[in-house]
Order: sequence, then structure tokens, then C-alpha cells
Amino acid sequence: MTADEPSDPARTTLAGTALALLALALSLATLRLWSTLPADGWIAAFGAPETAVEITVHFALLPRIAVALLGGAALGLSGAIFQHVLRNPLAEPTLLGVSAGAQLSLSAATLFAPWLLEQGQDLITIGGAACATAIVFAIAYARSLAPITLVMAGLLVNLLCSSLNAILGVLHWQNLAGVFMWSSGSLVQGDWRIAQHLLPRLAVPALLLCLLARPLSVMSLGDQAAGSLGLPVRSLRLMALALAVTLAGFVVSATGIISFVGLVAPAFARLCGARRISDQLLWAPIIGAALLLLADQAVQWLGLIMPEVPTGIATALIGAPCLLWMLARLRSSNSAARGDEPALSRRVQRPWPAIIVAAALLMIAVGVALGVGRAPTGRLIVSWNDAQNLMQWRWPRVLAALSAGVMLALSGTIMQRMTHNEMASPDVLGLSSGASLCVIAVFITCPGAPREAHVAAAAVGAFVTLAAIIALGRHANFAPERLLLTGVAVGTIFSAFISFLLVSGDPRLGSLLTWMAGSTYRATGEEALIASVIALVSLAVAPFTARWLAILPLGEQLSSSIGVNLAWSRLVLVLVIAVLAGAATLVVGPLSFVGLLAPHVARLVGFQRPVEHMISAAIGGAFVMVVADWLGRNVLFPYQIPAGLLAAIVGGPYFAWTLGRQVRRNF
Amino acid sequence: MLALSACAPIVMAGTGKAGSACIPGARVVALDLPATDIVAFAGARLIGAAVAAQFKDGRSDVTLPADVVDIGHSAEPNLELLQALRPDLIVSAWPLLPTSALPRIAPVLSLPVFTAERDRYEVVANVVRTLGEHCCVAEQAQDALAEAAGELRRSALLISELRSEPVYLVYLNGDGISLRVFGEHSMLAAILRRLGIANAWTGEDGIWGWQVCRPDVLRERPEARIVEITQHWDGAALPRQRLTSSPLWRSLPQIQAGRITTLPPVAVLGGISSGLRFASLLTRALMQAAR
Repeated sequence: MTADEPSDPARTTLAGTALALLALALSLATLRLWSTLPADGWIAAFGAPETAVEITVHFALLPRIAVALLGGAALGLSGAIFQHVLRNPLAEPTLLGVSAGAQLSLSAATLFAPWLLEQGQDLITIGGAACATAIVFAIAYARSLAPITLVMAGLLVNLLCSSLNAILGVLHWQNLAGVFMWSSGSLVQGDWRIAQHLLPRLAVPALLLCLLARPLSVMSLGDQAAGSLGLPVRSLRLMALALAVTLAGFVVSATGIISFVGLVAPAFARLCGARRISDQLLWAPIIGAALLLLADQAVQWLGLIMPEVPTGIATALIGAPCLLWMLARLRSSNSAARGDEPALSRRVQRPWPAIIVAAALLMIAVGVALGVGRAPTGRLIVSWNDAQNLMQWRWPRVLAALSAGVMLALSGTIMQRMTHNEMASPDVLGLSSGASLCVIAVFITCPGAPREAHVAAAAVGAFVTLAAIIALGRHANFAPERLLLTGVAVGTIFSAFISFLLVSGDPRLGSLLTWMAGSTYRATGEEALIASVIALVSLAVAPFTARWLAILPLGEQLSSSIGVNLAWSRLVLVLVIAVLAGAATLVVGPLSFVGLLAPHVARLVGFQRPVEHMISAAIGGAFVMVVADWLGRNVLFPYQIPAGLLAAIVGGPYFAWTLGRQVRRNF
Repeated sequence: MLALSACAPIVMAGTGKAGSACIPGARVVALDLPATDIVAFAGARLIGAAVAAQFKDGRSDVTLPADVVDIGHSAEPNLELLQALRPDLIVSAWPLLPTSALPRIAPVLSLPVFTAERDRYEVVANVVRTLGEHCCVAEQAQDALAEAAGELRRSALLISELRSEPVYLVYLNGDGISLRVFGEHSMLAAILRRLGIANAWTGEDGIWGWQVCRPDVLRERPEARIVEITQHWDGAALPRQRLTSSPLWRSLPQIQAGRITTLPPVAVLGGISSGLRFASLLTRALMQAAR
């Protein structure tokens, strides 16, 4: 027995808590059965149902309990493996692309190869999940599947898949109703088929994982130590993860996206004292099963007084705060090193002439965006002769895109400098999602609200998200991993909320969808002018924050000893970021990555000092958005692709590349 | 109150001369599916429509001539293209945002199709008349309506001989477990009333005319017939099969007794053309079932 063997009382607590949770969930389920059918009818209902109520119990309620237990257990086990193998207490099955890959492949199959669906949904979803995960592994393989590389690559693949899925959704949302329903994660059952289907498919990987328990526990010693004991670390890791992905893939295929059970269950087990991997492999599935059943029962009981919410949405809404809470408790030693000093290899010797050149390029892009377009016949023409007529449609969109680019780039630059973290930007960290959530809430609760209310709501959403990020990130010195996961939490709530809206099937959602995807279509002249005023004012104000942005990255102690009021300077910067991110989100939606992209490119080109960094990033951001808007208007003419989505397709791969660099520096 | 005020008979916006004489041969663009149906049905000159490419034979209730220009997605009609088309009238059935730029291109006729009023057929017929007046095709519109009414009467006569049971009109949803049941506000239910068939579903249905339910709700009227309307022109066979093979579905009294009819897709938010097509499909199916 090793020294860190948990004492017996600790294991008793663990078993007691887990079993109590399971008992609670099961008794709620029993109560639900009992309220439907008095106990004397149960034998008939369990055996050979005849009456309508007995049939409902036998073929709807009982299999639903079974699927909740099976799915929860599989997700819990899968999460335990992920967290152990990746040595990351926040890892999740869905984190490595399982859900996003499955969703994208299901959407694509529904639209382009409906005959594939008839071969069975499993094939498509697991195929998609496996492809996405394989890409994640391929990115990370060169680095021995190092935990942080995997998580980052997973995040990237998730973002790309959801951007592509959003494009399909915008163009064909009416035909994707089934996929939307699946995405929302419903456990409603009509027979025992899914339960019967899942049981063997989950049991086999689960048993194989049990066989791996011993080598896996040796891996806790560290890669080198385990390697010197003769353990094939890389293949072991790959095998364990492949099995965990298979488990999660089958569950996702059968039930849709159920987030956070895989995250919370193992964490809960550890919290109750499951320190050894064998304990975690035993108790995480039990806790996972209990949690999912509990969530599903809660949804059913609530469903008696209001329209029933899909279970997956409920777990996202409950799980995201759990993730944030766990982030706050996470010890710094667990997280990756923060973004280190970027290599200051290049510096533009004379920045201002270079900036003038960049501005000239931007002007050319604006000229093209305004002057070149498709004729009704579909030919691309320079349309100066008809300029007067066409300009009234083009200038608000071009100006709105330009202003949004400036605002996103500025807020990204300020965030990156303030937190001294290359990954910081409003789109990656969930500020934009937070802003969109508030806007949609206003949109739904009071449809007639003026545009100013939307701007205010967007700013509030961005501010609250950022405040949460800062509160959570400060103690860890804004470790990138922690920041990114905050973004994931907010993003998950956002997408759960969107799924919920889409499931309702309201025909008016089409226009809300294009807006959320970042279309400049609805930008009126007035709005574009307001956005440009905000952008200009912030450009004018930005240089005054230069001193803070030069000093804050040096660290809290040094900054206060130089005489910077930390609280005050941070508050001002946060407010500026929130207003900029909120206003930009209103114009181009939450998905664009421009806030990440532009500050980086500016820095790489060699604009290092705060003022020149901000100005050049703003020009770059504006350039990307103007080009994206022009492409969006012309590529599929007369159909239009939202500029925010197109920018994301450019920005996503760039994001991947950045991650690669960041990872190389940290390891 | 808001909903009521939105029910004003017709809303003219933009530069058009509301209430003035009609424009002979008015060139009309339709912004969405119901509007396209209504404009085509009234006999107005349709020169452009949203997703026009989808209105082809065998894929839609309304077939448009090839020279109708596709103006893009219904949520984002292409403004530059619209302007180049120089329409005299733009017609929309979905409510327009107050900030919409469309009135700068041509007068916009916003058709109050989706209202709290109970009979969608009557609502659409009124809209067709109004549109006819706006486009100087009032007589054609009136003729088309009379012809439609005649066709429905003939079908009703055929059906009265069958003494048909009440019907549930349902979509089987893509999640393989839930249904969409159509209620009194839907065009389909309005057609049922005209055919003299009772709608078995009397529950809440909202202004879109449907409610999402579990199969159990169909047990309320065990004597009714289930009429399933296929939801998509292709795909979706698997989720449908998942529901129809489940014991919950198979144990329904209607299924046990074989009272189920499956119809090809019909645009449930469409206008009178969709309604007529539904009527003929249903009549034929019920006559076949009775045989």
C-alpha cells in the first residue's frame, strides 16, 4: 500500500455521497413513475403493458431512465479518463471535438447526402466525432499528445466546426430542424431501442478501460517515470483517449449534445475523495449517472408546469456555472504557464509611414467594396455609372463592417496587453457570446425595444462576462487555459440557448440566425454612423491608455510601485473593452475572431509600442471585415454569407497557428 | 394590444400612393413563401421571389416560370438586385422590421397573413383580394378565389359521401419522438372545415397554427384518423421510421385500427395554392382509404 492511499473514512464518504446522490435521483424517478401509474399497475407495466398508461411507463418513462443512467455513466467515465490522461481537471469529452464534429457531420449529411441518414445516424455522428478528434490528435501528435496541446487543438476544432455548422444553419435552417432538435440533447424515448443499442456499445469500451486502470495509474507518476518503467506512454494515452471518445461518441449520437456531465462527475468524485484513478473510474460513472438522471428528472418535473426544456440544455445551464466555480478553485499549479513574453524579434523602425501604407491599403479595399459588385446577371463589374443607386446599399454595410473591425481589433489589443496574454480577445473569451445573449434576451422579452437598448444590453453582456473572467483569472495571472475555458463556459450557455430557440421552430428565427452569424445586412446608415462614431472616439481615446498598457504587463507589483492605480486603470480598460466588444457584436455577431487576429498580425509585423500597436491592429481588423463583407455579398450572389462567419473561416486557421506557437513556447 | 394593432388590414409603406388607383401590369416581387403563393394565385405579374429556385415542379405547391428572378434568402433579399429589377410593388407576409430599407426601392405591401384570427383561408382570401386591387387584377383574383371555392365544394361533396371520421393533422418531427399537431389557426384546418371534416385536435396552437406534442395526445379521440403530412421532400425517413416503429406509436388506437393516411409534403405556411393541393391530396387519400 502506498502512502497516499486514502484513509478508509475518506472512501466511505465518497461511497456514501455518490450512493446518496444516486438514491436521490432514483427516488425522484420512482416518484415520477408512481405519479403516472399507481404501484399496483407496475407489474403489468414492467412486464406486458396493455393500457395506454402502462405503455407510456414501459416504453417512454422506463427507457428514459435507462438512457439517462447509461449516458451519464458513460460520460462520467469518459470524463474521468480525459481528465486523468490529459492531466487537466477541466477536460471534457466534448472538449476534443466529439460533439462539434458529430453535429457538423449530421448537418452536412442531412443537407447533402440524406440517403446516408437511412444507413443510421450512428455512422454519421460517430464518423464526424472521430474525424474531428483525429484532427485534434493529429495536431497534437507531434508533441507527444501533451495535455495542453490537445486541449487547445480541441478548442480550435470545436470553434471551426461550429462556424461551418453556423454557415449551413444560416443558409438552410428550415431543413435542419431535425439536427437542431438533436443538438438540444433530448432524452425523450419512444421504446427500448436506444437503451438496448447503447448498452453493448458502452459496455465494451468501459470494460477495456477497466483493464487499462493499472497502467493508467502508473502514468500519474509522470511521462518520464512511466516511460522508464517500460510503459508505452504515447500509445497508452492514445488508446485510453480513443476509448473515451468512443464512449462519448455513442452517447452523443443517441442523445444529442449533453454538456458538462463529463466534466462535473469526475470532479465531484475527486472532491469527495477519489484520489486514485481506480476509485475515479468506479465512482465517476456512478456520479455521472446520478447527475444526468437528476437533471432529467428535474426537467420532467418542471415540464409539468411549463414547456419542457431538453435535458442537454438544462445540463449546460447548470454545468456552466459549475465550470466557472471550479475555475475559481483551481490551483495555479494545475494550469499551464501564462503566455510568456512574446519574442520581440521584429520591430518596425519607422512605424508611422508603415501605418500610412496600411491605411492606404484599407482605403483601396473600401473603394473596391463600394465600387465593385455583381450585376443582376451575376457578372462582377465596376459600377461607377450606377454608383448613386448602389451606394445607398453599400456604404452602411461597408462602414458597419469597417467600424466593427476597428472596435474588435482595439478591444482585442487592449485585452491582450492588459492581461498579457496572446489568447485574449472578445470573441475567444466569450465576451461576444455574452453580449449576444443579452441582446437576444432583450429581443425576445420586449420586441419593440429601441436600438439603443440593444447597444446597452450588448455592453452589459460583454462587461459581465469580462468581469467574471477577470475575477476568475487574476489569481492565476490570467493563465491562458483558464481564460479560454471561461470563454467555453459562456459559449456553451450561448449555444444551448440558441438551440432552445431553434427547437421552437418559429419561422421568424431565420433573420435572427443571420444576425447572430454576423451579417451586416441590417445595418442602417444611422447604425453604421453610430458604430463609426464609437470606433473613432475609441481610436482617439486609446492613446491615453497607452501608459497603462505599457506598464500593466510588467506585473501587479511593479505597476503599483511605478504609481499606476491598479483597480482604477483596470476598471477603465474593462469598460472600454466592454463597450467596444458589445457594439461590434451588434454589427457582426459573436463569431469573427478578428479581435484575436488583428492585434496579432500587427504585433508580428513589428508594431510593438501600445499606440502604434492599437492603430495598426485597428486598420488590420477593419481590412479583414471589409474584405469579408465584400466576399459575403458577392460569392454566392444573390445569396449572402454573413461577414462574421467568413472572417471566422480566415480567423480560425490563424487561431490554430497561434495556438501552435503558444504551445511551443510553453513546453 | 400590440398583436391587435398589428392586425390592421394592410400596411402600405414607402413612396407608394396608398389608397390611390392601382398600377396596371404592376411588376411584383415576393419576399417569402406565403407571399409568393399569394401573388402567383392572385394572378399578379411576379418578376422576382425569394429562393425562387425552390419553386419547381415536384418540389413545391407553387411552380414558378423560369424567368422569375431569385432574389436570395428570404431573411436577406438582395437589395442591389431588387433595385435593378425595378419592381412596382414588394410583397411580404412576414412582418418587416421598422428599420427595413425595402420601402426605399418600391412600396411594400405587408400582408397580414399570420394573425390571431381563426380562419386562415378567409384571411388569405382577403389578402388575395387586396393584392388584386393593388395590381389591377381584382377580377382575376376574384375568379381564382371563386374557382378555388368551387373546387373545395366539389371535394366536400365527395367527402360527405364517405362520412369521414375526425382527423388529426400531424408532422412527425425529426427527433423521432415528437409530433407537430395542426390546430384551428392553420391553413390545413381551414381546409378541413371547408371539406366538412372535423379537426380532432382542439388544443392551443398559437398563431403559426401548430403545437409540438408527444404521441399520447392522439389518444384523446381514438375514433379519429391520423393524417400525416410528410415534412420534407427528401431525407428524414429514418427519424420518421424511428417514431412509426415505436410501441408508443404502434399502440395508438388509430394505428391499431389502420386509420392512418400519409400525404406528400405540403407547405403548411403557404397560401391558397397550398391549401387546394392539400385538399385534393386529402380527398384522394380518404377516398382510397374508404374503398
